[in-house]
Amino acid sequence: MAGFEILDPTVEPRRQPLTYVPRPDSLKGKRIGLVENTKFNSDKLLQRIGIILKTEYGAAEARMWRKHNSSVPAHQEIIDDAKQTVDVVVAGIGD
Amino acid sequence: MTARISSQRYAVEGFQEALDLCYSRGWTDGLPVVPPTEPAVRAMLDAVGLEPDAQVAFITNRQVAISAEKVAINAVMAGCRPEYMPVVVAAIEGIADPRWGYHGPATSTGSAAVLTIVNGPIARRLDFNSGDNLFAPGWRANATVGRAVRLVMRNVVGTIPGRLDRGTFGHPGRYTYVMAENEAESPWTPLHVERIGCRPTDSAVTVMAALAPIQFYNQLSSTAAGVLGTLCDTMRYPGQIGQPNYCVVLAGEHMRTIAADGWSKADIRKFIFENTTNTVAHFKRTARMPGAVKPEDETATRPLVQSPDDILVVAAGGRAGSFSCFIPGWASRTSSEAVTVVIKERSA
Amino acid sequence: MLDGILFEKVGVPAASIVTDVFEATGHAMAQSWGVPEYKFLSVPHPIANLTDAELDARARAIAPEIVGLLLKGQEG
Repeated sequence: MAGFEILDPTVEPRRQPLTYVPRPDSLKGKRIGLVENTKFNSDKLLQRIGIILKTEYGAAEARMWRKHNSSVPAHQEIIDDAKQTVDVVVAGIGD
Repeated sequence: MTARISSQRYAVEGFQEALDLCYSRGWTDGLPVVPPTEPAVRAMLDAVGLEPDAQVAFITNRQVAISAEKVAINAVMAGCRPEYMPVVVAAIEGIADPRWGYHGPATSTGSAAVLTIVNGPIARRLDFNSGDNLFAPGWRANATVGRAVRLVMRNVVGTIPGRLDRGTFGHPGRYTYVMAENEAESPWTPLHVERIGCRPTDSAVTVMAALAPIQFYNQLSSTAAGVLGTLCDTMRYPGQIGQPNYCVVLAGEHMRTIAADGWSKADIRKFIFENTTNTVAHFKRTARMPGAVKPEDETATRPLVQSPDDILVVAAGGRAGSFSCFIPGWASRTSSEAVTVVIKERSA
Repeated sequence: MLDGILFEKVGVPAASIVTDVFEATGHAMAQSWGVPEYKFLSVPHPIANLTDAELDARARAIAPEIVGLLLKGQEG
C-alpha cells in the first residue's frame, strides 16, 4: 500500500461556557440542599456536613434529596424542588 | 453518496505507519485495527444508507452526538464487513437508550460489558455464531460487531480506562461479547419476539450490561427441574444484591432436556425466580447488606431479580456438553435494563 | 459530579464532592460537558466502610472547603 490517508475515529468535546450565578456573601441564614447519590454512606456524610454548615456557618436549614440512582443526574423533580426551596446545593459522594 | 466526510485526516506512508498512529493516539483496544480509509468508511455508510452527518445516537450523560461517519470509521477499524453496519447501528441505538443508562454500565467500577444478542434472519445470513464456542474467537461477525461498538464507546464517547471507565476488573467481554440465539434448533419463542413483539422474520439486537458468563454442569438430570435446580443453586448467591437483569443461556443438551419436559421460557423464568431467593439474614451475615442481623431477617426473603421478566432466556451454545451458563447484569435493573432494538436494513 | 454542573445551569450555586480515586473521572465528565476547568472537591476513598467517628472526621475536614467553594464559586 502506497501513501494514503486515515480518518480520525474520535470526537472532541465542545466547549459550553457556563455563566455562573452570583455567590452569597456567607451561609448565614441560607438554606442548604444536600443531594446524595445513593451510594453507601453518602447520605450519612452529607448529613454531617449539613449539621456543620448550620452549627458553625449559620445556615438556617439543611434538607436532603436522594437521587433515583447513581447513574443518572438528579431527576427533574429534585432540581425543581431545590430551585424553589434552597439557596445552595452540596452533591456527592461515594462509589 | 457524495456527502462530505468531515473527520480529520492523517497522511501515512503505509499500513505499519497507520497502525502505529492508531496505537500511539490510543484509538485501539490493544489489538491492531484496520486503517480507516475514506473508501472503506463510505462502503460502511452505503451499506446502511446513512449520510455521514446523520445522528445515530446521542449520549445525554456525556453530551456526545454519535454520527454515522464516526460509527463507520470505528466499524472499519474493528474489521467489520459493510453488511454488519445495520447491526452495529442498532446496538449503539440500544446503549444510547435512556433505559440502558449509558453512564452506569460504562463508567462504574462494576465492570459491565455490552452483551449483544442477535436475533432474526440476519444472524444466519451474516454468520453470527450461535453454537459451539459461543463466546470464543473464530467468527468475524461476533468478533467485529462487538468490537466496533466498544471502539465507538472508547473513541467517540470517551469511555477510557482511568477517566470515564473505572471498571475495577473489566472483563474479556469488553473486547467483544456478541452471540446469536440458536433459533434453528430452539423449541422456544425467540428472544426478540418475546421482548418487543416483533415478527420472527424481523431481525433485532438486544443489548444488556453484563458481567462475565458463569457456567454450571449437570449431566445427571433428565428433567427440567433437575437441570434448572443446579442452575439456581449456582446462580443464587449474587456478586451484588441490586437485582439486575440476568441472561440464562441454555446450550444443546440442557435445551433438549428442558424442552422435552414441555417447559416454555416463561416456565423457566418462573422456576428461577422462585428458587433463587435468599434471606436478609444471609445477606447481612455475608456483608452484602449492612446492619446487624435481626430475628425477623431470618425469614425475610429477597429475590435475585425484581421480576421473572428480568431474566432473559436464550437458547445458544454447543450441541455437546452438559453445560449451560448464566450472565449477571450490572447493578440493578432500575439503573440499567436490557434494551431490544429492531435492526433497520436499508441501503443507499 | 454532574449534578453540580446541572444545578449551576439552573441558577443554584453548587459544590460537588467525589472521592479522591474519582478525580480523573470528575475532570473527564466536566470536559464532556464543556467546562474542563470546573472545580469540585474530593475526600479520601472509600467512605462505604467508615465508622461513625470516621464519618464525623471526614465531614469536619471537608466542610471548610465546601464553604469556600460555595462562597467563592468557580471563578473565585
